[in-house]
Amino acid sequence: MSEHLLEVKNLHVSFRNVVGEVKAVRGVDFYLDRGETLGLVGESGCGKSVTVQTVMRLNPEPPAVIKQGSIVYDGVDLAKLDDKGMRKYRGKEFSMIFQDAMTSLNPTTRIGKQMKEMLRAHRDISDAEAKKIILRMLTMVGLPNPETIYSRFPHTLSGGQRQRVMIAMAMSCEPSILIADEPTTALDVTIQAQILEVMNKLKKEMNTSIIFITHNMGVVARMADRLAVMYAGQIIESGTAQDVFYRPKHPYTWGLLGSMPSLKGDVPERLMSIPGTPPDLFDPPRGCGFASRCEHCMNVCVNRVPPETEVAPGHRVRCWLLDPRCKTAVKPPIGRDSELIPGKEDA
Amino acid sequence: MQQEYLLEVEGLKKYFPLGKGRTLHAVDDVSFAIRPGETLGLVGESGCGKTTVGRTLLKLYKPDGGRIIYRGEDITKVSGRRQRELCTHMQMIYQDPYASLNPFMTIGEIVSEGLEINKIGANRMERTAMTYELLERVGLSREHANRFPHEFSGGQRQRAGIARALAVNPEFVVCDEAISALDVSVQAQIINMLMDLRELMNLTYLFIAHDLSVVRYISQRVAVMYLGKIVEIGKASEVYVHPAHPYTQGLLGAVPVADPDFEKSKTYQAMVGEVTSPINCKPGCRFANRCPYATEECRTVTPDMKAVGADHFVACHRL
Amino acid sequence: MEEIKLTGHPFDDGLTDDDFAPVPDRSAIVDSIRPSMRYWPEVGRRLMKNKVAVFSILLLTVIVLMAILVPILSPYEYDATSLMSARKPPSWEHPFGTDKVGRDMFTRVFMGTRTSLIIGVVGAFLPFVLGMVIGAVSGWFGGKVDMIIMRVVDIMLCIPSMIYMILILVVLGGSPTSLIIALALSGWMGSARSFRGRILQFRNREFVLAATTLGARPGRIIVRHILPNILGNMAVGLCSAIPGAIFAEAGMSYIGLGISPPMTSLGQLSSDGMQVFLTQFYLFFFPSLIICLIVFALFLFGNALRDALDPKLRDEDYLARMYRKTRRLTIRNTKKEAAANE
Repeated sequence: MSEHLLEVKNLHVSFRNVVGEVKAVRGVDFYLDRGETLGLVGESGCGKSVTVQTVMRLNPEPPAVIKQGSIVYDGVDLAKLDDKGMRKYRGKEFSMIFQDAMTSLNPTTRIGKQMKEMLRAHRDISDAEAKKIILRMLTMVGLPNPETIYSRFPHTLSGGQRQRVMIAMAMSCEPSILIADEPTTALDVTIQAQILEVMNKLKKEMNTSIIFITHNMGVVARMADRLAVMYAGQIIESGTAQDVFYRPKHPYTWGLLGSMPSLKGDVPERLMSIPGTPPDLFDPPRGCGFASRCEHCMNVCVNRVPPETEVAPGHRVRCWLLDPRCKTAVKPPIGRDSELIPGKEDA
Repeated sequence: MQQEYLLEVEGLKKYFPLGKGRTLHAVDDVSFAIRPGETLGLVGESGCGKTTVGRTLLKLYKPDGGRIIYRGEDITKVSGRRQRELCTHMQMIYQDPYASLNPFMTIGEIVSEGLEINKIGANRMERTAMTYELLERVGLSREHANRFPHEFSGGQRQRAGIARALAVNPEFVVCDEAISALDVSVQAQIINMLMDLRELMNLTYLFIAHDLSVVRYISQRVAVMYLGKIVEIGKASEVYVHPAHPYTQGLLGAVPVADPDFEKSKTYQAMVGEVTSPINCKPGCRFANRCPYATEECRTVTPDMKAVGADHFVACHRL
Repeated sequence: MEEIKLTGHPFDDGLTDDDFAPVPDRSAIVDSIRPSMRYWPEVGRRLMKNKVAVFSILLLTVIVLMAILVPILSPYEYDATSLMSARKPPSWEHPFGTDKVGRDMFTRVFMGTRTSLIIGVVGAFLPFVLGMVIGAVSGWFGGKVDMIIMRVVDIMLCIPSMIYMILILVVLGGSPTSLIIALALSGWMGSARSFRGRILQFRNREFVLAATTLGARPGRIIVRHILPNILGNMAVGLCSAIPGAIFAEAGMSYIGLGISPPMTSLGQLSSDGMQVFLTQFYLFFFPSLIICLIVFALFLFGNALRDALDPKLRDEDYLARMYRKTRRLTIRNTKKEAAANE
């Protein structure tokens, strides 16, 4: 039925506490094809981490609750599986790397032993075989002397080395999907460049799909084939990297791209900035989540969630400005090939 | 008399003893000067000593060598009353909007503390009025004065931190990674505001950051630090367009740009190796072990600053 | 011109042209705001919600009130002897009985409570403050000062505090003042050490650095910036230190170095009662009961306070109250929006 490797449909996730719920993810749809990298971008608290953690079912439930929606992988709806059912996917089919590698490495166990345990839990191989695979993986992620790394403890490694070990560990079971949650945010730019390089190389060699979460538009431009921009628990714009970077349609995407200072091009007089702060998802706005910060806000935006509009094949945007009945023509202030939207100033 | 420089730093050193005869050369022989009204960006990776430079300038750390000259006065060794007077001239904006505000004080109390300590304003009423004005100047409102930091978002807290620093009407402000903990869209708000305030209040910034693109945007001049030393300093337009030091080149090449076609077509030459710590440093260029052009000379002789253009200096043997 | 294809929303959604007009006043759209909340009132509120805390506070209040009001409530003087009514068991006239010289035990027990409470509170507070000052100096100035103070602390901690107490009491004689002095001189080391640790923990926090760059002197930084941040933990510590002081006083009374008669304390009363325990157990029972109640109530209160200060619980409770308030705010905003739409 589904031709995609992974398809998430209308996913709603809330965190319940004594009094109510924080509606962290409010209707998210996306898909991932084999061998592609999907960038999930947004600011802190927009629900991007919760979304992928839900795909992995890593959020403790409760307090997390999947209110509705499906996560279809290989014909199976992961949203309906219990913890035991999920175990066979985690690590083997999906792997995850985090911002802080130290939290996911056991500080009292040597790198080699940890990796071996992981590997042998998922694959039926001998001790010696496991070691061979591990050493090969450690070489592949660019660690200079894998033999020494193999017998070292995590805390004796630098941040960049740890992140490489994490990647090696995540990839050693040859997962079909690698989820990277801000893997380079805590690293320096030169190390970040090395890590991104390694990830791209491994992706090509092993034909893995990557979901790459970040708030850095530069990193996502380097990594992603397609990207989805999240705001206040919803994907407000998604499409190919070129669609979103060169022909952005949502005012939030404009703001996000415009507010990032760049090393390329002229230095602009002022950076574009978005006033205000994202809404509190404890009590999300009734209409568009961005309404209170949007300079093109219309009456309808306050009261109704905008529907998804497909402006070009695969380029979907949630914004009322794209409704044919909208009279205001807005020129996107950003993007290489931006045109007036909506295309109906004759109306 | 009008001095050419507002602040001059000559051969500044700050070492931290680590015990067992080991010393961390956090800042080792750093020199630069800042003209009035100018912004000097200080960039480098974590552990390069850029924050230590900022803190030493404000005397949060005692310098172990070198001189700090402010408006022609050597302030390296001043203490007591004169030091406290200098607080109204030099201020600092801190990195972490969550750790830099006392959770038990209201925003109003935090902002007015500098006024109170330095006895600015005749009485409480006047100080309150000044606090309100400051809050409005940084984009908060007077209603915020009675609220506590935990009720605010990161961006709003950082605004309060800026108001606190500006309360004493300083002319030199050290922005220590002032925006790196904020979200992108909020970062832009704060940068724009810092630039407006620079015009409005005639400020001079030392803008410390690890993000090169932000620094390019706000600074007229840039200094690049590596392991406690400045390796390149010059006009921003020069350094970004014609980086002369291999480290600067590598650093600039490593920053991803928000342009997918460009990013994917660019051949990446990621800098090899990792940053070490400047512990018990030997002579020689500290970048030698990562530098693709390193020679024997680089490993044994510390390079001096050489001019490679107008107001553009580089510490590298290759030039 | 690119073609715009619409998916999933037919035009029967009831939207009018007016809906697509720009919002007249953008400042009217406000996302819900979390209400303001102060720290200590919150702690108080949480404490009052905790039944155990309320019970312990009531218990302590009753005991303190009795200790204060006992001269008014009781027709007897605490030191008035009356051989006619010696060794009486509890009765309506003498609820706690009388002792061997006919003094009313009810009066004496609550007079003793008064002494014990004063010694307990002041005797816990004074070493605490003393330790705080010494610890602050040590932690803030560091270097040699710190080293010397800490070595002194180490040495003093090696010697059992009982020895200082006995020495000081022998020299100064048995009075509440000398007991408090003895407690202060023997008990400051622990608090000095923990306070020093706290100072070290906070002195490199950015908000403390910020105060330093504003020109604040060490005194101001410690009092205005560091102290409020550790007050909660200190209060819990103090609650558990009071029973310690009361016990120390009782212990001294047992070895005959406590309060000298006719003044009395709970420790002294129970120690006297011990001697006639088999014949007049009530002489032992009532003072001991009061000691137990005080210690018990303080223990419960300390625990409740710790819970009330706990940030995790704080979050949940905070969310609960916030939720209710946010609802109200949202309704107000919606009204505002409606007004804006009209």
